[in-house]
Amino acid sequence: MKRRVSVDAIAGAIVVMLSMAVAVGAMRFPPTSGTVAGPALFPLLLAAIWGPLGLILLLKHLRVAPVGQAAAPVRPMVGLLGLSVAYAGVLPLLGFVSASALYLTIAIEFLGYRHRWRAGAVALSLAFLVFWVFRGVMAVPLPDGWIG
Amino acid sequence: MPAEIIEILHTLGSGAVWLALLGGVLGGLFVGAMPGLTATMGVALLVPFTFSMPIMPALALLIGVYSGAIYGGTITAVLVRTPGTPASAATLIDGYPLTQRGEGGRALAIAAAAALSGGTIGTLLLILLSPQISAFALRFGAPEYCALALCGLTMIVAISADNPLNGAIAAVGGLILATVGIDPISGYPRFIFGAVSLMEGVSFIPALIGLFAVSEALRVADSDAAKMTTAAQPHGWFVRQADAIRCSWTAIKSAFIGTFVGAMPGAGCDIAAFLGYSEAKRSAAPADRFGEGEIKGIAAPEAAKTAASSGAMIPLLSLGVPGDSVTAVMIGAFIIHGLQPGPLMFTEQAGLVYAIFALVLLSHVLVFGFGSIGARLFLRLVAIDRRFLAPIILLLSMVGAYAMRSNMVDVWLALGFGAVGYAMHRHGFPVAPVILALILGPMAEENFRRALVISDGSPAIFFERPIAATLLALAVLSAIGTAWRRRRMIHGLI
Repeated sequence: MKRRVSVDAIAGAIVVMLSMAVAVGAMRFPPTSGTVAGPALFPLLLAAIWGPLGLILLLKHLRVAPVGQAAAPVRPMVGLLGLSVAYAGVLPLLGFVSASALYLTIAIEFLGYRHRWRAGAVALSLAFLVFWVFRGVMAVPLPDGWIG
Repeated sequence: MPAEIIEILHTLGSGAVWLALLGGVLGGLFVGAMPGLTATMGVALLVPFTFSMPIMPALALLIGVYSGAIYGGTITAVLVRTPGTPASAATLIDGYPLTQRGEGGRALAIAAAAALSGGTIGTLLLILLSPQISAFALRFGAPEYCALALCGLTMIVAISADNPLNGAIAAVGGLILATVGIDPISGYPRFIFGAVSLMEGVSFIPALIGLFAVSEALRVADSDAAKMTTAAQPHGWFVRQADAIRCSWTAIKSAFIGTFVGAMPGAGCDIAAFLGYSEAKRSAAPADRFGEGEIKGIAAPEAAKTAASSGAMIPLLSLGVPGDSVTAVMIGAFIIHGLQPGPLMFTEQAGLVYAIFALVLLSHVLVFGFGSIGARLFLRLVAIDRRFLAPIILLLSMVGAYAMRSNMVDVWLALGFGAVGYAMHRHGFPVAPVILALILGPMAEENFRRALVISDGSPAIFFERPIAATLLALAVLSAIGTAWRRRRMIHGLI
């Protein structure tokens, strides 16, 4: 049977590597004269605990898992996260209301809602409502962008 | 004391405070009733809304959401067999069978009354115990505070994680994140990689919005059901006298259990609800029919979990250590408004503390009122299509993260933490220890280093002082207890 390394083992390996990076980074911090309690002490201690914890996780799950254990689908999550990243990218350019209305319409449709006009109307109303609450009531400046 | 009474009257005389509390309770009931959304997410999402508010309405809003969300899950648990929050799952066991017999209204009436009694007893214990604990904590020095932070973190890891190893990895990771930024003692910038925006450390609000709100919205998007199934229509809203008498002792006992469980860092309402239920079942009379619509099986978890929400405020207000993930988020709101929860709050801002007590008590009364009368309305609201809900939560999360400093970096941070939180949840790593470590990390490090400076570098200072030694012993015992429990679980003994 084909086998693959489990996600837990990969997580353990990442923790070990990150803890080593923390330790190396902390060792470059300058010492404080007259005391052992310099800026490096706490991160070094934490790295010394984190690394072995990661190693335990790695060793515990190193016995590989068989292929075919179906994981739950992540497509909606990946798509929605991608859309959110794109939204954060265009927000300063398009402005809050237009970017938010567009984002909500596309995201709602992406999740399987088929009434485009209804989704668009809800999205536009919500974008205006959130804009009014933040800009009008709380006086928080939101990006204006090209369109607003 | 007169100054405290004046502060309470001043707070309760403000229309803005009432409005915020009312809005918070209604919003909280909705969040709690909606499966997939938690009290922590509700509070995290609302923290940015409180930036521009005066302190008391801001706290009223957050306390209202907390209390509302803790009860809200019960409505859907009892009527449509879908617990809105994990804590309401215990109420479902006996609540839903009553609904099946056409007595959903009776079940909700008992739940609301038990929640009110639990909340009242929990708040009274909060009022009685917090000043004593904070007076005791005034004797704490650097070693004690360091030991307290470590004890809190160990207990959180021990209790909050199904897998303690994953919990420990999450907590230590959070502690490492807390070291990012300018070192408070030497002023040296640590792990900032040249980024000026990291000089003040990892921004707390984007982190908590990302870990609790963005990650939950992504999980909502992944869930199968588009909307909630049709709801049963409950009848009869007020608790019957016979039911009240029959459940009174169970509710009182569960309230005490809930308060003490809630006061333990990390335990929270979920554990309190199930402990309250199992104690009621253990001490059941022969005529009690647990699992078949027994009303004591509704009263016990409801009283326990509501009391736990008040109990969680005890360590928050008296020691500055959060009792659960919601109070951890609340600490962020306190800090934003220039308040530092802890023993000094009782001496320097006693009036404010007593006003908070009053708000907690009032929130339970409002939850009782709206939870009883408005159950039918909340059932309609939770039928919101999830295809709309997830993008709306994400939009609010991103705007909330942006609002703090009007800085797009915080939006990116929130999205990054959201992705990390989603991945952590998917692979069995709890996110609550990360946030708690971000809060307790600076307290642990600063006091650890101060203690070493006082003792000329000798770690013996932590074992020579009785309070610090006791707290460290508690931390070690909690770690050993967790390992032992886990071992028994693996060998099928539990």
